Amino acid sequence: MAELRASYTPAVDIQETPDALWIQADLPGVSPQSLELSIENQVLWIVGRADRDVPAGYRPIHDDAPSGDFVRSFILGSAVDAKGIRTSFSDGILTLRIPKLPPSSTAKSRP
Amino acid sequence: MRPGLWTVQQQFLETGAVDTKSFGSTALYEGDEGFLLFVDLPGVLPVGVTIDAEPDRLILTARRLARPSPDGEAFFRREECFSGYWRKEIRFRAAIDPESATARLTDGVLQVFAKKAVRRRPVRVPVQGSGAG
Repeated sequence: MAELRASYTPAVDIQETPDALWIQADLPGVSPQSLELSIENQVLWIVGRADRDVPAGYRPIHDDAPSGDFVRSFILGSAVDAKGIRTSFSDGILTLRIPKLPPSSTAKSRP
Repeated sequence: MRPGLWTVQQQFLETGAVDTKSFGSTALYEGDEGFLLFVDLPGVLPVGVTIDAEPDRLILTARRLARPSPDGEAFFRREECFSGYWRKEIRFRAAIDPESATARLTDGVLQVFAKKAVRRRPVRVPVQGSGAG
């Protein structure tokens, strides 16, 4: 993952409830097929690519919209259940629900 | 801080700096036939978009409702995504035919196409009348 080269970083909202963390990422122009989620060494990676279907012969005259490869990552830590992550993707928004582990199972990780 | 959340708040850290606001950003392309506009509108439904086409510009508005709260009591740990009312005006360097404009919203991207107006060329008017010519 360290070799990834992203052209932009998508914006996210993170909300926390008593039971879970919710990540909502703005990913306009990203198809589910070009989106990859992975967890490596307790780091959550959101990787993908936003493409535009521009007809041949059309030339750009203005462009401030992010496109191309993107990446964003988060350290999950040991207080969440990485195996219980649920995802949904619609209208250009990726939603992740990351359940927390019960307090008793995370007590040992507290300093 | 509520008890029981300390560990999560300390450990759920971001691994990189972030500086991006993509909502409403645009990409405009020009072809021989017309203009093609892309607008990033994630989380917006078609009913939340208006497009007014005029010969020299498009006036776009969109409304993105606040994200629905997850189940139970929630608070924001990070809030980067736009919500609210958005407006933008796109001016063209060549006249368009407003009647030709079409739009669709897919995967959070609004795509608008407008044909260029047919250029009216000067016409020489023949003069009729009597007399030698």
